[in-house]
Amino acid sequence: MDLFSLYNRLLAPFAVFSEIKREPARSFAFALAAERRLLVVPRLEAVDALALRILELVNADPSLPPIDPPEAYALAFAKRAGYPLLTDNASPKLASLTLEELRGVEVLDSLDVLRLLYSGETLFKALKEFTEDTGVRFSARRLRELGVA
Amino acid sequence: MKDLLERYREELEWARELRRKEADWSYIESRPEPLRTALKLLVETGDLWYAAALTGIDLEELNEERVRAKIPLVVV
Repeated sequence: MDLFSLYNRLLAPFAVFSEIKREPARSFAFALAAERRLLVVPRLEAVDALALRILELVNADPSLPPIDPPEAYALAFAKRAGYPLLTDNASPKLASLTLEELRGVEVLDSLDVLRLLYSGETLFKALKEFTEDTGVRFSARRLRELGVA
Repeated sequence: MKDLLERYREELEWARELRRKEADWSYIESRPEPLRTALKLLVETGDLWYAAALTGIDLEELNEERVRAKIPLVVV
């Protein structure tokens, strides 16, 4: 899987991992875990406190899209561990760009990751395949900026 | 910073319009409650977790319904 050419391992907070209940996502996640390419991060008290603070900060700011608890936890863990956070939700990315307490957290969405993996015609094909497989649509503005729309 | 927030606001509104436009409304209206409300919430917010949590529907079930209702997940 190409993603592992960028990252050796993926870490999923338990709050996020526990939401994978159905097939084929469940078997896929377990297979990655068995290969130790996916690690489940247990709930940690130190991260809980930061996640709660993030929930308060983001959800109290009407200019930011709301953040949900698993996403806040993942963002807090990324901040504390110094790892990038991979998510397609806009809220963590915007929070990391606007809130002083989250400065320095790298938040990447699918388009960022695909752009890191591919370029030119290969990127165009990868975006098309990804959209067909997942039903995810990308910002027309960002695609134009990348020269693929 | 103001420009960044303004840009995101525009993008989020564009995403909402796209979801409204592409959703299969006859499918959504045909679903029983609370699924129907969850799908409508998803169209308006784009937030799968929120729509699932608020209506008590399993996240993955709602995602499967999202695909059937042709509601795109939009990355802005």
